[in-house]
Amino acid sequence: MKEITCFNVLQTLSDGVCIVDKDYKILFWNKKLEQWSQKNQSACVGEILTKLYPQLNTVAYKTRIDQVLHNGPPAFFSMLLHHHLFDFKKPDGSDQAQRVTVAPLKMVMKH
Amino acid sequence: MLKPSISKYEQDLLQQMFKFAADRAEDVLAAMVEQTVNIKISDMQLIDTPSLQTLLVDTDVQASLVCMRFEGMMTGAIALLFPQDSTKVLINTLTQSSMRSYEMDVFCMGTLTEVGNIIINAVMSQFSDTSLEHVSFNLPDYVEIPAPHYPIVGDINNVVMTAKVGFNISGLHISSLLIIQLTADSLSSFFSALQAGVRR
Repeated sequence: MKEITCFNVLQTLSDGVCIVDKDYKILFWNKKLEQWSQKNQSACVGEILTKLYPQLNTVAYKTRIDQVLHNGPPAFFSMLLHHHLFDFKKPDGSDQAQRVTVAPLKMVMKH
Repeated sequence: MLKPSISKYEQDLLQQMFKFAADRAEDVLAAMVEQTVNIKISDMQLIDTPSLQTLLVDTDVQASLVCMRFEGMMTGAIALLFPQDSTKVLINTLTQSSMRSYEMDVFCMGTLTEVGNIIINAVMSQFSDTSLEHVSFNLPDYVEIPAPHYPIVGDINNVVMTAKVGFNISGLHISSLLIIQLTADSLSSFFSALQAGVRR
């Protein structure tokens, strides 16, 4: 898939990276996220992020994420206020705390 | 260097933008912490870069600064300054916990960055939604004062606007200071774009 190939450099990061379009459709899901979520990239790409993680559909999150998806400023979600945006589990079964940044991605697509 | 000035109309326009931004931020923060939150942005002032330098660099006051740079129709930086006392009260109130000391650990820095991010984003989104002009933003920075470098202090000719931001959360009042710095040449395009947006 063309979109995945151009984001390949993000596979090497130790941070989880997910790329969505303005409709929350997942375009990319890196290896770190595969590991944390126990969901393969092939199972996630093409899915709607808010369907996989319905908590993101609540006012507290959606208002801020929508703003970013419409070219607004980046949104930052701290561990102390949210603990975890995504319900990922640690090996001992407890919730994995997360610090999440949502930022617009500028891309130049060659045709 | 000319002393910066803006007209009464521009001042009123900004105050109106701040009011809408405060309402936006209030809704977001209240939904997030599930507490009653009131935010007021008031007492807007126009100062020059040396005055900002004095405010930040030549002060002994310990404080935290959440800052974000932007570029486009307007170019500059925006920041929210939390004095030490406010920081502690704000975090304790929002998280409904008690902080051991002012020694800010990574969790508290993150919380403050998020609160600053919400206020700053509400103000910047209000500006860009009104003007319909595209602005690019950097990721927010967190700096503790005093610091060797301030991302908010720029060129000597830049124009700086400040306003008080008051938070009322569950009956507690917390004060902070909003700082917006614009390059001298983007000040007029900023107001032109805002005025055009309001007329639409």
